[in-house]
Amino acid sequence: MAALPLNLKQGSAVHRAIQAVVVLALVLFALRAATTWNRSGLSLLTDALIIAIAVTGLNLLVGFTGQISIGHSAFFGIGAYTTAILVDTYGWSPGWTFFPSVAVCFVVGVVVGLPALRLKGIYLALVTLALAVAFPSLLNRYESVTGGAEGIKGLRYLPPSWTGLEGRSDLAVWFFWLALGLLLITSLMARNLLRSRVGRSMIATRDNETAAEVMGVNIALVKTGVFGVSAAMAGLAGSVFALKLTLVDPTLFTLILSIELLVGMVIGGAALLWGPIVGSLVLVYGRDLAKSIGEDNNIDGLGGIMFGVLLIVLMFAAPQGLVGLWRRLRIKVVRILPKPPVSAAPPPTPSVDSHEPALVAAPADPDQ
Amino acid sequence: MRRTRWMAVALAGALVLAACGDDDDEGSGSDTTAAATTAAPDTTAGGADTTAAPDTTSAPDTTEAPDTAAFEVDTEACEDPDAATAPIEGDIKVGTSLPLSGGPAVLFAPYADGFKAFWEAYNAQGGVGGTQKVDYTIKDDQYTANLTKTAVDEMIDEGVQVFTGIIGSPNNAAVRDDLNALCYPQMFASTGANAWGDIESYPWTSGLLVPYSVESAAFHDFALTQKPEGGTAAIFYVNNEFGQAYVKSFKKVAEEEGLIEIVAEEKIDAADSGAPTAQMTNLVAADPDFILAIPLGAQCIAFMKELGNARAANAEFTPVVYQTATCANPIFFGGAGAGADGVFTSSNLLPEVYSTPNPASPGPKAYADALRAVKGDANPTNTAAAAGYLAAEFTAHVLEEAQKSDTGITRASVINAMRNINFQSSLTQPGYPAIMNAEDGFIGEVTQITQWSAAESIFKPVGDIISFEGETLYTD
Repeated sequence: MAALPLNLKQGSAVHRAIQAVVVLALVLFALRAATTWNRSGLSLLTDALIIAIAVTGLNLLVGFTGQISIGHSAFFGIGAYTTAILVDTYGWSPGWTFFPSVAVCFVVGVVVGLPALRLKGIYLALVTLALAVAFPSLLNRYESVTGGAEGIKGLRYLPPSWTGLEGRSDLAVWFFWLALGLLLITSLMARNLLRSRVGRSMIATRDNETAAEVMGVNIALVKTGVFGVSAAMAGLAGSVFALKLTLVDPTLFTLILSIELLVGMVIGGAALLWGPIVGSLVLVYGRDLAKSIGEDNNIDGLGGIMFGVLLIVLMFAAPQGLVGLWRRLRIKVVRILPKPPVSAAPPPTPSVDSHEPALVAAPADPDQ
Repeated sequence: MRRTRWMAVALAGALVLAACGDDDDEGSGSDTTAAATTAAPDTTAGGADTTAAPDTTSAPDTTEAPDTAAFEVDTEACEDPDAATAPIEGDIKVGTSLPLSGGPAVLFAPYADGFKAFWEAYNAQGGVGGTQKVDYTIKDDQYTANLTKTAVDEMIDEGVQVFTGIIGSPNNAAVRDDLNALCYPQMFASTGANAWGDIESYPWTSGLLVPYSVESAAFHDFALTQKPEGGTAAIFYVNNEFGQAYVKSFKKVAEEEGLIEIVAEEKIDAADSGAPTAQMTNLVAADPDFILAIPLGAQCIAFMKELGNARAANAEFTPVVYQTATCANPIFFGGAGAGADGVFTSSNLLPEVYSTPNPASPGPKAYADALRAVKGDANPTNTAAAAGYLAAEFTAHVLEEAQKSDTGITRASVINAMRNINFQSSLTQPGYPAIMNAEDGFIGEVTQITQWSAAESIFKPVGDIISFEGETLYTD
């Protein structure tokens, strides 16, 4: 028997086979969920996928670019309200509202990102905190557009005819595939972005802003651009959320939501591509489990206390998130050696499984 | 970058696919929800009914059955008409969703105790018609609309056939489209929003509380009895859907009558828990003849305490103050001390329910006993608990009427019985039964102004019972 850990070359046949098996397992799981799970099970999973879309955006900003945001509930809400207003006031077909929601949130994200050019750390956090706090008040203030405290109700989005799904009975299945598809695409976009020059610029900006600027990174462009992309992803999630819930109102997009998104990112693992997905699943299912425990035992607040304790334990056991923990454990069994760089230069010291992606050498693979 | 561009194209493609094709499938409310029709009366039409609370005899029903067409739901508009008309045999699964944890649970959790108390006592006596027990489920939604949706989805999967007493306007709104399209009864939504009277678009949904518009009109009329020539009014409200519904209703009736001028509006956020000192200062400065106060939960206490401070500091500040029925809880008024003395509110419950923990009349006594049986330290004067009991009692009556119909209990016969209800609850004002029919979508249209006596720690009825029966109109 070979000594552990086993070394696998990235891109080798065995590595590809393992990846194929993982992908196949996930596809089979999704098919099984869509065809055999009941309404509530599928709805809960869909909620986790929607949150994961937003957390993926947040992870780009916080995890990979090093900018803090406590204001993502506002971007999520702007996406939701853009969809709701276009459907309710202007009679748009719900599916088409995703485009303007993404565009509006990108623009707002870029504008909100401007202070990030001069602010860092807790000061930037305060600016985004103000956004999160002000957003519900703004919704109340501009009642003629947003419906004020009553919000906008009665949003309807039935499965498109080409899906073969019909009516509200199949709505849970439709939203599951929609959320899964959008999460898949946003995750792949994030992955490819991080492997590109822009991604390396983001990581360089996070690791050492001065050094990155000296090396030619346009810090202003990177910071504001990532803020925009991150906000756009949160807005897309908000749009799907609004259509699934059939309504929007100011109480849904408070500071609590921002904190939940941050918690989802940290539980899963910041700066890791699988982190948002795992973190969102734990967040949504953990909250539901805690609620059920409270109902079953008829003890006020028991569920919330248990969920809080779980989060604390998780942070002690897995300070780099659950995906980080998984990587630490996996390294003891299998190490994946990255491809050597394309240049003829001798390969650098492998940075496999490091959390800090290399700047100049082979781009780190944050989804390993 | 090439990969990123491809992914951007893929995202755009996916969004287009998501967008395409849904135009044809979308419809107006009438397309996706089961429509209502009126038809010749069937056997579920309400007469004078006397479903008794456990161990009680109901107050006699003195009202004639209304001379209107009976309601009959059109199940062909359901996504699964067969399921809506399938007989429900054995135990009947009834579900509700409300905040059992989180901040609002302080106010609403006793509702669950009242709900549970009724069903436990009712099942002990044999259940519906003595043959079918009620298997009830209470889920926690933390007063959050998306959790209400999750809770209702779970209950549908668990086989719940009838939903009743769900608390909160956005919470009920979040599940209304689904339940109407799938044809599940969504009865006695525990909110006073006007939306629950929309028989045409949402025949499977009804409210429980006296509509906020009715209460606003009642306060307006009461104010004019105090000062017939009219006067000035100020409004203090929580700035959310609940508060704004009252404000709009009161402004509308004041504008129509033209006798009361609104001179000040002060608001607080729903999450505010501190004393509304600044707002009270402004109210004192406005010096109105009347104040309509619309706080929520613990804010009821904070407002009255602040009112007491203002009155103590300014002897000339003596407006007629009315707090909405959602504050009409002896726990709130008692907690406010002297500040609550003389403050008016309203209720459609019997005075015994909210005035004494040991009522003697059969209905209130049965309620108090049942409540203590499920929770020994429960306070029967807590009107939230009474509301939960009331919702369950109405539901039991509807199930009994449905059982008597030709088809027995089906989801359709349940909704027909609900829409044709004519029932005197054991907890509400005798002589004023709850009535709904094809033209009347509101069940609670009767109220009684009361005034708190801090010395005696009770609400005292003031004036006559006010009835708007059959007059409430649904407005979008």
